[in-house]
Amino acid sequence: MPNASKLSDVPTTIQRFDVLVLAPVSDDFPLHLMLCNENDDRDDVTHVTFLNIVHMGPPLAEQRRERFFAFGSAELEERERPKIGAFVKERIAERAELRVLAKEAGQRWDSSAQYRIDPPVTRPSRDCTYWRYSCVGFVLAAYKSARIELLSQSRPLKDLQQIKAIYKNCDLGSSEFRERMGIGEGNQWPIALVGYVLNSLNRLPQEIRGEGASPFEPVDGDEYFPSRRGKPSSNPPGGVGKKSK
Amino acid sequence: MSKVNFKEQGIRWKEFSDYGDYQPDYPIATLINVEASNTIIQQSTIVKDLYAVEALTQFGWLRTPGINIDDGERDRIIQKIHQYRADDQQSDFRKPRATKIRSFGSVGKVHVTENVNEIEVDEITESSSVQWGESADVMLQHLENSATTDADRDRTVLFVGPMAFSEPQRPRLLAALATYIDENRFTRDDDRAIVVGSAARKYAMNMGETDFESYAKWLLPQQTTYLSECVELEFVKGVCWRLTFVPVQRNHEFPQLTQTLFQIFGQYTNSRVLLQKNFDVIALNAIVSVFVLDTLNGTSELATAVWSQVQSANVIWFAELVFDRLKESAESISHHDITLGAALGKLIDDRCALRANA
Repeated sequence: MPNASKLSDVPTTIQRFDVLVLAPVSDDFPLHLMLCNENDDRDDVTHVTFLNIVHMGPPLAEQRRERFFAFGSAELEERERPKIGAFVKERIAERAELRVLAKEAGQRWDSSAQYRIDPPVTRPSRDCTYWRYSCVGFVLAAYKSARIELLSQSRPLKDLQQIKAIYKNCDLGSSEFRERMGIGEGNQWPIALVGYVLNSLNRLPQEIRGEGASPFEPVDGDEYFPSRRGKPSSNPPGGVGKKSK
Repeated sequence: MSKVNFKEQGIRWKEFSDYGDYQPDYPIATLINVEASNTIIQQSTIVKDLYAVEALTQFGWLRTPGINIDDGERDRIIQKIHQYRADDQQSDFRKPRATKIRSFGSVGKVHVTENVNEIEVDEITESSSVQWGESADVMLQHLENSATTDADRDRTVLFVGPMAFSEPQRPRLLAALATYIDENRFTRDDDRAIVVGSAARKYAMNMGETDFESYAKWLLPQQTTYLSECVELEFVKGVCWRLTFVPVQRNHEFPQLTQTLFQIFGQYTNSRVLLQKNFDVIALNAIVSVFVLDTLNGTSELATAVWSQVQSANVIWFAELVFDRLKESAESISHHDITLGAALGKLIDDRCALRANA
């Protein structure tokens, strides 16, 4: 059965590397995605439970958080978890320096150097010797390491106005900052949104993994959870996007 | 909403005072600063700064302005501060405790006792001349200048990780990083080990083919010491990324690098140690590197031996992970070297055929 839902005061079971979503600013429009990093299953999780998580903030970090809006589970199998675990270990190891930077350099250092809005996953280069992710990209890459492709490359395009509404506190008016975030050129981008991942996980397990599985191909309205496909209010904020190919 | 100047608040603790005149310009941080100021600092119980700093750090206060900050975050951080206070009141708070505040060469001790609500902090007089956002040339000057303090050199090495250097600057960068790595690669200091790892990745991604063999020497243990596992991982990861993401010229041979990586892979790829610490990811990166190097050499002996041992380890998820990572590497290499990518892809397919036949 589909396995993504909102959290409430009714206890729910969450497992290691299930997907967690922070409470949205506006109704049903989730903004931040993370992985549960609890070693053991938790069958007592409500919307106010503290959980160990790992996420791309930025910076990429292991933390303890609470007040989750929703969760999604791919019902990971035993041999999938160590693959994701290896991925997380590898990334955390190279990001351990961020902890030092944060501690030692304070605000002199800008952790957005580790973040990319689009593409959600950016490989290291001579210039930047980290993998860079959006919060969604980090989760997508983690699941890909376990052979689970959660999202299609074909996603609704969002223009700058729409992206600004999502990244409300970023200085996206700065062309230099947009460039670093990967949205310097062009006027529409197929950014990966949190709602897409939740709606991807809200499918049957055989649609998510295995022989008959296919990556979820989001359309407008899937930014929300539950999806608002085809509903008039499903174009947040500022118009209809077109699909990238 | 007013902004808080930490200096004006008279906050002595380094983690705050270091921010100096920094004035956060995004609302959540400002709210938290106000909370820290009004609720904690003005009570003159500076020990409680610890709660605030811990909570702020826990909730990623140092992240870039704006990303992943919602209206609920302020409440959560403040709630966390209160939770830390409550927890400490119920816990073993009687024994004096000491917490290290590191500053790459400047260490302050925080002493907390039950009855004395104060923190004694060694005055940190060191001022950094290194600033985030300086040009690549200025960063190189910091690295090359013998008067640069150890703390500033560490900081500079971390800062250059996400910085672009021009071709004329690259030899200077490599020379400076090589000196740093030579001096520090066996460190047992956790923070410095992280800096060495960053230096290793930056060096590896920027080195030329003529540097590969000398790079391999850094991976070797000495008579009385060896690389810590976190440093070893970054060294191996660095060369794996170099072979995968940056074009490699074919007119070189790398026997020492190949042999060293083969040895590292062999040490960790058995079920007895594979699941411990970071050994699985060290082995994974070494395996990919050996496959690429074998392909570059036009041979397949080492790749055959590697795959055989991966199979023998009988850790199925790891064998699948190796296979997937190899495929991804072949695809990545194909972006800049179609011939090499195709040859690696064929080598991988051949190994899989061997597995199926076995």
